[in-house]
Amino acid sequence: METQKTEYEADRFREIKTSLSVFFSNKGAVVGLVIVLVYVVDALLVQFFPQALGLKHPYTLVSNYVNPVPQPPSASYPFGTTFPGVDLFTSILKAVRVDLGYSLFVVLLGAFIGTVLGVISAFAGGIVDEFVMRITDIFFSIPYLVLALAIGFVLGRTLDNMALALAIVWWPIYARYARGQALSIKEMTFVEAARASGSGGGKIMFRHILPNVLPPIFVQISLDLGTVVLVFSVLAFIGFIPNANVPELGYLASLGLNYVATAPWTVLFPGAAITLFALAVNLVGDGLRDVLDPRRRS
Amino acid sequence: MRLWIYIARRLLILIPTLVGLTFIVFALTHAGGNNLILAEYINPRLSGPAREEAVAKLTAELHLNQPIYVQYFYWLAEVLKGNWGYTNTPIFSGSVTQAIALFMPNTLSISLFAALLIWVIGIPLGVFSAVNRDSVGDNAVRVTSFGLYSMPIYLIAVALILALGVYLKVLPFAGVVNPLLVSNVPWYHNGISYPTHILLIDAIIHGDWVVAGNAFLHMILPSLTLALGVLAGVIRILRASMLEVLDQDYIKLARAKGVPERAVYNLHARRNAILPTVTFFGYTVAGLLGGAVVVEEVFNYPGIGYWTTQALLNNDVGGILGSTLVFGLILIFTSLILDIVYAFLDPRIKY
Amino acid sequence: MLIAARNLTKFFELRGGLTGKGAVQAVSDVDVEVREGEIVGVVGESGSGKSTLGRLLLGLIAPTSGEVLFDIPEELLQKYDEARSANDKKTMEEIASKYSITRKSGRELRALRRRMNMMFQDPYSSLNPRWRVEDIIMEPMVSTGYLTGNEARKRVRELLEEVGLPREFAYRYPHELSGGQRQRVALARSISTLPSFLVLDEPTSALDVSAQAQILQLLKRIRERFRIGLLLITHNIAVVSYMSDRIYVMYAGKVVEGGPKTSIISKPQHPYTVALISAVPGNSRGPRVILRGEPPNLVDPPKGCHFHPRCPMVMDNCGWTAKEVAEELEFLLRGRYYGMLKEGSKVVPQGELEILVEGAKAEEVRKVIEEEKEEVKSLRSIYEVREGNGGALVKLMRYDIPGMYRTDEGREVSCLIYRKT
Repeated sequence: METQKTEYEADRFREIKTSLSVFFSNKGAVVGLVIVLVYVVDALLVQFFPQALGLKHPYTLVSNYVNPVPQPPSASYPFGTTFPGVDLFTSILKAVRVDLGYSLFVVLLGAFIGTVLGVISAFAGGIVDEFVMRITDIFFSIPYLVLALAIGFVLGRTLDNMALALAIVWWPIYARYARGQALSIKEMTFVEAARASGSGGGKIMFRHILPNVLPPIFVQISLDLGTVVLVFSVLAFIGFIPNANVPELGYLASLGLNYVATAPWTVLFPGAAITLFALAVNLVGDGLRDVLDPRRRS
Repeated sequence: MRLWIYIARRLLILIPTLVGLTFIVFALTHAGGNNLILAEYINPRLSGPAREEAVAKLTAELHLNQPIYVQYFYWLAEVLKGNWGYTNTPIFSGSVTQAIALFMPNTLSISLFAALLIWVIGIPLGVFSAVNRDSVGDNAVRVTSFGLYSMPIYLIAVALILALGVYLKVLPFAGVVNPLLVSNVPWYHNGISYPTHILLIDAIIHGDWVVAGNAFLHMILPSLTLALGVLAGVIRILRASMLEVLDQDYIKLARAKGVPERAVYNLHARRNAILPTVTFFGYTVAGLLGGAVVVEEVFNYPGIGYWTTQALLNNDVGGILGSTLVFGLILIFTSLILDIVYAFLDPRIKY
Repeated sequence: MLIAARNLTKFFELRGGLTGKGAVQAVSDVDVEVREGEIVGVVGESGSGKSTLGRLLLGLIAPTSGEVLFDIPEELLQKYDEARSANDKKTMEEIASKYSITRKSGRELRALRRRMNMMFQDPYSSLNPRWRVEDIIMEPMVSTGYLTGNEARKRVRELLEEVGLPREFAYRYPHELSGGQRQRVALARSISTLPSFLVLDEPTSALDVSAQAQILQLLKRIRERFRIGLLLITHNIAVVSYMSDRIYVMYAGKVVEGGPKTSIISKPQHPYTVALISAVPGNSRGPRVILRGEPPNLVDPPKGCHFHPRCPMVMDNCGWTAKEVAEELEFLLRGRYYGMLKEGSKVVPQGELEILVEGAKAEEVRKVIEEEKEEVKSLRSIYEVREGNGGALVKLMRYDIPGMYRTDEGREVSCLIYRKT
């Protein structure tokens, strides 16, 4: 029996290997993955070993009011400085942690709320379904940026609230997506078989339907992360967090806006950092979609 | 007949959506308590008994001591009567409806201009990319749109400003017009042009071609930024739906029958790609409105989006409430119209 | 009696529109019985309501009306039937409230799940692709509290052996199994709590022939070993005749005939059964009967006997209504007898049993009916044609609704031909 089990596990291993080879045959996805890993490593280092990067104040921006005007890139400031005398290179290193962490929080919270509501909505049907779907309609009827502004306005303009506001506008996408998935899975015979076997509604919902809804949701999460990172930095850029002194890429870009004609690096470097990350995440998401979609496996 | 029932149903669904939208907007702006609202209406210099009196008067007038759902109905009645409250920002102080009348035209003009650019650039590129699948051109389009898709819109704006405004010096990148040109124009006061509030049109009406030309130049960069921000998504959607249509059996059959390629695209494929195109139009509207917030902020272009950010930065309840409502109403009615158009176009739709 | 359905009826409401669009009468007024350890076949074409019947018996869907009496002592069932013929609602209610699974809910129903289960047609969608075989087979045991933890796991290994699969399959996922193996897993799941009643919904029709035979043999063995009463739903006469002890034949939501297998196969009585059995390839008994037309739309099924519009042996009182007769009459009057119907005149049904042929003479219409009666069977239901209302007024006789008539030993037929007068 034990030998059989290991043999079986060899089968599983082969299965995983095909998935991996599909993913790794996509060059873009591999490049994306490497870049994402660099960002993740940076974020983790800032969080846990800031001294390894030589950062004395890993969680705040260090201003220099003696020389606040942006300086061009040089040996001591590889990316130059931005107003008020903030070194861009170390600030970007610090900011990656903030952007990555908050974006992950937004997507995961949004996906969690949306998936649970979507699955319940599909499973319960009737009035519950109608109600949840009407609410998502309303959320979709306001541009998410504007709605996030309005919610953030109410919650108070801080970094935490900005993330919360984004999560609140982000869940309806997942609710619709999960509902669609759950509706098709609900029609599968194994759900009826579970009912015939005496399983109750909760068990069917969370043990049968949910596990089948999750994989496409994960791909959606990976695709969304890139968008959320962008939206997050855009919100910060237009002034959502006032005088925060927080290393955040959008905020960092907005600091140099008044000097952009003479010191373009103040916007371009933080902007490039965010673009590179969004690009990498989107590439990985595309690769993951290939793995999941059997039609693309060819 | 079925179609009319569908449209009637669609209109019925509009009611809960509108109620929901207004309620969410109302609840949002009132969830913070009454202080924000009072601050909006009461002169901050008032103090002591005078202030208390003003607070009491306003509380009665706005029914602020009632439960929130009662307040909502009072508020809704006022909104339906056209009283949307007051806004107080550095760029405009006055009634919300006035602010909308003032800012909306600017947002509409750059959005329409951007939409035009999207159609002119996006549709040919999307179709080209699908038809010449996996060619060098297709790959170039895909890589470019992928890159654009991953750029925050402010970076696109700054890149354009640097390239076209700062280095090549061909395009202006702040405000709606060179202020020196309009300093002595009778139909322009305090940054507001009359009668339509769209500077370009007003200048043409008054025959002032220099101002009109300058106003047009000022529209180009914001519109282009907006268009590029939405373009990537449009090309992706269009390419995918066109590919799907081209993969259908009837297209393969047409090809197998020896129908010329050009006829395959024009007669068989394009017509069926129209439906997704309608959907992507909705996507465009939503993208443009969201993007306008950032673009107007970067270019200091006085539209609804600029007003929204100003309202946010200045704790202006009326501005937030008004702009959210306007954006919501535009999108709701756009999607209503699109759904109806869709129902007319698609014979398969069944409800 | 293991399970007995009485007057079981299921209408599926159609949604849509403001007024609703009626209901699909999937199962109407059906009586069936399954005894302990017996294999009962239910045959019928797709859409005849046999799958719905299976789900009703298990309480997976709630009936519109009727009872499913589970595990009811013979004498009480007899008492129930007597009360039913005497229309004694009180006694019926008394018995039903105790034995009918339609009255049970929540905990009670879940307790019953241990004693009954179902096996489905599609071996690909009936197993959750994200679960391992072990968890799949364990599900009924865990859900009903029959066995849990390691005991259940041990039992899974025994069950796998029982259905002829290696124990190691417990660790596999469904996509790693073939169709036949999956059906074995599905069977192991459905018998894991040692139920006394099992519904098999087309258990072999998605499999290739060799796998079919293996599964059928396995089912027979399982029945023998555990004395499980099986209800086998299929459209395949060969499967039914190989497997069952008794057979019910369904048509358009009704049971048209029931009885012991050998007697039904060798001597079918209901015209539909005759046609069905004559259509089995290689059947040499009697000529092949080919049915005209399509199975009816169950939103608005035919009156009287549901089979009458297609029945080769149809009689005058089988359920003809004005609508059907008017249609055929108009067809004749506009075709072979062209000219009898004036320009702009119509053949209008008036209520259920009267037809007005506008502007026609009674004499002429009567002649047409006499001439065509042999060919067009629906015209036989006409008993009078007279002048009136500006045309010929055609009157139909009242139709009868067939009951279940006992014929031979254990045989029941729902056809007026077998009504004892």
